[in-house]
This record gives sequence, C-alpha cells and structure tokens, in this order.
Amino acid sequence: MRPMNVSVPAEVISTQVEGEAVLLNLLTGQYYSLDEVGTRIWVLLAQHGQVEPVVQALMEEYDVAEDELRRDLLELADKLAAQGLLWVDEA
Amino acid sequence: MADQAEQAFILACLTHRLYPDRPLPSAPEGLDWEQVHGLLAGHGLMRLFYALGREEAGLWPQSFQRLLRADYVAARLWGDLCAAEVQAALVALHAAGIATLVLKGWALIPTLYGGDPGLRLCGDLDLLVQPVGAERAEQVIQQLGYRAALEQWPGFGRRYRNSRAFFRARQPWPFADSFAVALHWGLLDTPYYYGKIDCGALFQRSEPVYVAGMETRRLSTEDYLVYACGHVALHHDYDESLHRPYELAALILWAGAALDWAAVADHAAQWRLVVPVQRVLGRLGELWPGIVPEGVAGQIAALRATRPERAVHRWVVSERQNHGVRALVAGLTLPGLRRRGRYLLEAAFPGPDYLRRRYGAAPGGAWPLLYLRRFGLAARYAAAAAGHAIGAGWRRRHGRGPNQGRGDV
Repeated sequence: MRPMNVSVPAEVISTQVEGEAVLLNLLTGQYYSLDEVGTRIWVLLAQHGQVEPVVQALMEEYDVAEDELRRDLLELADKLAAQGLLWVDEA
Repeated sequence: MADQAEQAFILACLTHRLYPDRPLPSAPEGLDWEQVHGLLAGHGLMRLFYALGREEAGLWPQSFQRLLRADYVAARLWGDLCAAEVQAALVALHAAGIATLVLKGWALIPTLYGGDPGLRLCGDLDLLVQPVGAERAEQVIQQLGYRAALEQWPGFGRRYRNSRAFFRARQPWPFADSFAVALHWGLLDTPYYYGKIDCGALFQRSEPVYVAGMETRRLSTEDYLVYACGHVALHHDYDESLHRPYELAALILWAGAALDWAAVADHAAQWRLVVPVQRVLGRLGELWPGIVPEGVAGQIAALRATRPERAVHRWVVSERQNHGVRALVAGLTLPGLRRRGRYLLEAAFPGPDYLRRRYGAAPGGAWPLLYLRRFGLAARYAAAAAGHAIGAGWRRRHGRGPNQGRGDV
C-alpha cells in the first residue's frame, strides 16, 4: 500500500464530549460524532498525519486482524474525506 | 403564571446544584419540557443543566437531555476556539510584560465550571490592565490581528473612557467579528465611578487563576462580587435571567467562610455602588435565603447611598438604551471641567470617518450634513428621556402612570 498523508482542514474543528469526538465543518455547518473507536482513530490521524503509524498504534491497542483494521480505517478516512472533514493525500 | 411549575423546577435544580445535600425534587407530572427548554435558553442555563443531567442520570427524559447536549456540543466547539484566542492574548500580553486581571466569564470558568468553556460560553475576553499599561496593551492586541472598535475621534477612548473593544475576523471563524477582547483600565464604564475604584488596589488584592491553560490573575472574590453587582445594574439593567444570580451564589458558596463580607460592604460604599449591591444581593437572598448571612444582609441594607450616587444610578439604569442620555451623564460626571467640555464637544461633533461608518454616505459626499442626522437622533433621545422623567414624576406624585388605571372597567 502506498503511504497516505492525512490532515484536518482549517475549517474543521473538533472536541470530545462524553468520550466521543464531535466534528464541525464550519463551511457546511454540519456536525458529526464518532463512536469510541472512531474517536480514537480521529485522534491518532490528527496526531500522526499519516495512516501507517495509526495502523501500528491500533494494532497494539485492539485485538484485530491487520487486513480488517486497514479496511475499516480506510473506509472511515474515505467517509470523513467525503464530508470535507479530512484531507487524504496519497503520497 | 402559565410556566410556574417549570420555573419552580428550574429553581429547585439550581438550588440542588448550589447545595448538593438538598435533595432534588423529581420533576412534577405533566411538566412541559418544551417550556423548560425555552426558559433555560432565556435564563442562559442550558449548558449548566446539561452538566446536571450528565452527572445525575434520570433527572429528566433522555430526549430532553439530548436537546441540552446538542446545545452544549455547539457551545463546546465554539468555546474551544475562544479558549485558543484567550490563550494567545494572555501569552502575548504576558510576553510584553503587561499585568492583566481576567474579568467576568473567563474568570469564573475555572472555579464554577470546572474549566469547561462549553458550560459558560464567553464570546469575548474582558481584561483589566493598569491605566499606564493600557496603550501598550492596545498595541499588543492589535498585533494579534484584532481591529479596534470605531471611535468618535482617534484616541477618544483613551481620553474619556476606561475600556475599548477589539474584534477578531479570522478564518476559519464562520463570521466576522467572531471574538472580541475588551481592554479595561477601570472597572465600570460610567465616568462617575472612575476615580472611586482604585485600579492599583484591585491588582494588589487579586488572586491567581488558570484561564485557558494560562496562569493569570483575577479580582479578589470580594471585589468581584461588588463589581458584578454594579455590572448587572449598570450594564444589564438588572436583567432577570437566573444565570447571573446563580453564578454569584455559587461564588459566595465557593469562597465560604473566607469571604470577607466587611470588605464587600466597604467597597460598595467606597465605589458608590450601594444601590446595585443592595438590590442584587437582596435578590440572591430571595432566591436562596441565607446565602447572604443575616447580619451581613442587615449591614448592607443599612448602607446609605449618596444623593449623586442615586441620581447617576437612576439615569444610567433607566436610560440604559438611550445613547444621548448616556453620553450626557458621562460628560457631566467626568472629572475636570475642561475635560467635560472637550468630551461633550467631541462626542457631539465626531470625526468624518465615524460619521460615515455610523450613518452611511452623505448626499454629495458632504459629510457635515450627517451632523443633522446625528442631532435629529439626539433630539429623539432627549424627548424619550424627558417622557420617562415626566412619567417617573407623575408616578412619584400619584402612584401610577398617566395612562394607567383608566379605560377597562
């Protein structure tokens, strides 16, 4: 898999409420909330700016097969990108 | 009153929040939650009630808690953005060696709201600076990208006022002037109070506090209480919303036995804020009997306001929305006759930039014509104030207004 860089656009702000990430796209005014796992992925993506270190971190935290993890992670990244909440750049 | 049960329930919840050992009565059957929601919004209490519902599950229907949560989430996102602005301003002022005291909401968030800016939304940061540091503080804030509020003439605020607002318009903020920093070099806006409140003493008595992750300072609790009473009276016309008395009550309980009530009474008299302190603390006592100790309440009730103090209070509070009267009261109570005269002249005849931005373009670009518009507005303000004064005089003499008590039989 090619390395993927990710970043949070300036118009997206987020916070955590009761353990869940809440994201707001200021351009659209739409709110989104993520469940516990989604929140962890969001935090790691924002922290690392790349997908690969996030995969490694999640492999250590969750008992999950790597293929399944990668598939779910990319699916979430795609959904976030589709809503303008994340920029995904295949380097 | 149609919403009596809802009002009583809200007050009971606030009482429980202030005194956790007092049990919270369960919501009466048939309570109109939509009504409760509307009242909470009006009282500025939605987010506080969200926190209450989060801490004590089962207080109300889940659907109601979801409504409160949605409001909190929006406030929290916004509050986090504001907190970043607050932090940047405090860092810059600190780096410039300017001592500041955080006033109002941001000073209360660490103590009363667990540091959560979503629970007490503050769209501006009020900072007290020493008068000698005010000019430098203005420069620092403007270097951060803030735009100064419009003035009648350049330097008008520094010459005659004790505060100036600076606005932020920066991406990704969703709209212009999203956040403001108000620099104060005195506590209250009306010049009558300028010389009565010693700014240096406020700094000496101040207390350390962490605001938006920054170590800074705020007014002592005693100073804050008196200031807050004055602010509620002179700036908010004793508005009836419950979040202000709740905050004062919570602050009093937080301070507990350490609160120096004698200092509160002293400041009320020295700062000429006897009437606001009596009225605001009196309301607190009605809402939560005993919150102001009985002996203290008696001592404060016995304070006598001076005649000029009562007059200024009456005019500022009763004509809060009347810019003409406010300008006149400001002019007449400024220290120094020459300064008063210059103020009135500059306020009556502001510069062309101010006129254009306030009243729009003049016909044919002849900006002095805009003075006619300004004087027309001033005449309307004067007429409104005269009407109020006549009405007040009538009520004093006859116990009712000229148009009351007639007609319907």
